[in-house]
Amino acid sequence: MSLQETAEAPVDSFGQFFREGGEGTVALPHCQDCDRHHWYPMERCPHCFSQRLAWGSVSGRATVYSVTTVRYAFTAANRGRTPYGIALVTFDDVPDVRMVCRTGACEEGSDVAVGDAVMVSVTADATDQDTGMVTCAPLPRNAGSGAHGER
Amino acid sequence: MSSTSDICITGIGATPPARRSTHSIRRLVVDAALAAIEDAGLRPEDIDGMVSDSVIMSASVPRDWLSAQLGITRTFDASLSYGGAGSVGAPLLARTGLRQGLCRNVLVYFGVDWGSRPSGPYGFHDMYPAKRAYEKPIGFDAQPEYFGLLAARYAEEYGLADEELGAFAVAQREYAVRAGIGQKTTPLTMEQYLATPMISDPLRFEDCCLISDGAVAYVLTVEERAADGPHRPVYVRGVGFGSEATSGDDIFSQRADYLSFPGTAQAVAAVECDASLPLSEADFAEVYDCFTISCLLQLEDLGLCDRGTAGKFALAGETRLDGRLPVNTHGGLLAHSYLLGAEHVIEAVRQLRGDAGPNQVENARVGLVTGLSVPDYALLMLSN
Ligand SMILES: [Zn+2]
Repeated sequence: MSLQETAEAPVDSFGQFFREGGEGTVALPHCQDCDRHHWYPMERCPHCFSQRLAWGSVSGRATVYSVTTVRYAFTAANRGRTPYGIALVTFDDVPDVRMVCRTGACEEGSDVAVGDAVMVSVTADATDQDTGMVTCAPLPRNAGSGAHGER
Repeated sequence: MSSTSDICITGIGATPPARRSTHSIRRLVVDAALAAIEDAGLRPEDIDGMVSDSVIMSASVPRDWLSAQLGITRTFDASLSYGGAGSVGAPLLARTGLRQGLCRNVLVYFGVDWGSRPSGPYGFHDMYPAKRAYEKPIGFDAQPEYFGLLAARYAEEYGLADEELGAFAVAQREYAVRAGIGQKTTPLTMEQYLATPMISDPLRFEDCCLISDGAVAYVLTVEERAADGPHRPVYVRGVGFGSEATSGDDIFSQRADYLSFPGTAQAVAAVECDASLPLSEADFAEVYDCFTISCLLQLEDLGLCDRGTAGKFALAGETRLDGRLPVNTHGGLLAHSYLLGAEHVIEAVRQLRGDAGPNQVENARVGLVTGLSVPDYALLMLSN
């Protein structure tokens, strides 16, 4: 795994995550002391409580841990956009970090299933770079890098 | 002066279950509080201690406001957690005030107006930064989605037939229809359950709790004074609270032990130590059922069912009135009303007084009540 550390960026907010992420690249807070990643952004490493945190990039290659198809719009922003899928994925590089992603969906349900290999993409919002969209899309099964869940 | 006296619930009050009330949240709380005080055979000026949840009541019906409206002078005041864990864990604090002689009678209260408030149950999530910046924009914006993911993962690990979740909804509807006082008054068959629309797979409409306006209150005092009241005292046999190193931001995605709720182990240990009685001795349980899957997972967390078996337990009818462990005997959050579990305490008291009418559990001696306010958890064991 290759990590590009950016020590100056604030590690307790979402701006850097959305600005640095891209198609197949995900910026995660990374602890300089215990060398582990975590999610969400926070002040101290949840594993060793170090405050020496920086952003590091991991591959967006991930495995679906759980998935649900949302068929009811709970907030105005999703009116007319249901059904859509919400997946909880684990990164193949860092399997103890999970991330919630939006997936595509058809009437039958989300286009990904538990155990599927997916690619995560991060897009900053055009007008507010401190927020944005995170999606995951299915990878051809044979393209997965031996993807596996936590159990 | 401190004592080791047992403490008892001596009075209960609740507003009628309603999807929308014509009364304000403050009026509803006043009504419930006065009803509980009267039920305890007391006058408002006899109350000198108050406990509420720290978040919802502290913002909408603060204890100072209620004290002023009821003419109460307090020598004890405390709050904990938010919502269900606050209402169910309140005796933990009340016991301290009562045993240390800081007060004589403690009023616990809770209410919500999420039935009539435009943001409903979803608005308070905005207090979590990750929810605002990350989860809402991608559409992870409501409880059925969080619990839908839990249920889908449970299905992957243990298998979960649709009917296993449905069994909770159907059984609880039976209780509500028999009681005749809840928001749901018409029966629900398994066929009807299966035909209701999916909301967030595998959770259907009938897997989700109601939305309500209402309030409840209850009164606690020490055993010695409880005997003076008009009702049979209900004893607090054990009460526990737990909250692990998981924030409200992380709880629905990062927890390593994804299929169990944090705080349950600590709460169970505290209750079993208090009561010198295992949870398995309970004759019934009022389990926080924001969704069918929440109830299922807690039955396993509490050790009342083995991992992977709670759905089959329900499907075999064991949570019904004639089952091995009647669960949510008023209909719960799914069918009675959704006051974030505060009414579960009231129903447990009814059962232990022998006042549960057509849903009375025969020879009910010990009951459990759970309050789930992730990442907080509270557990209460009551007996008569
Ligand atoms: Zn660390």
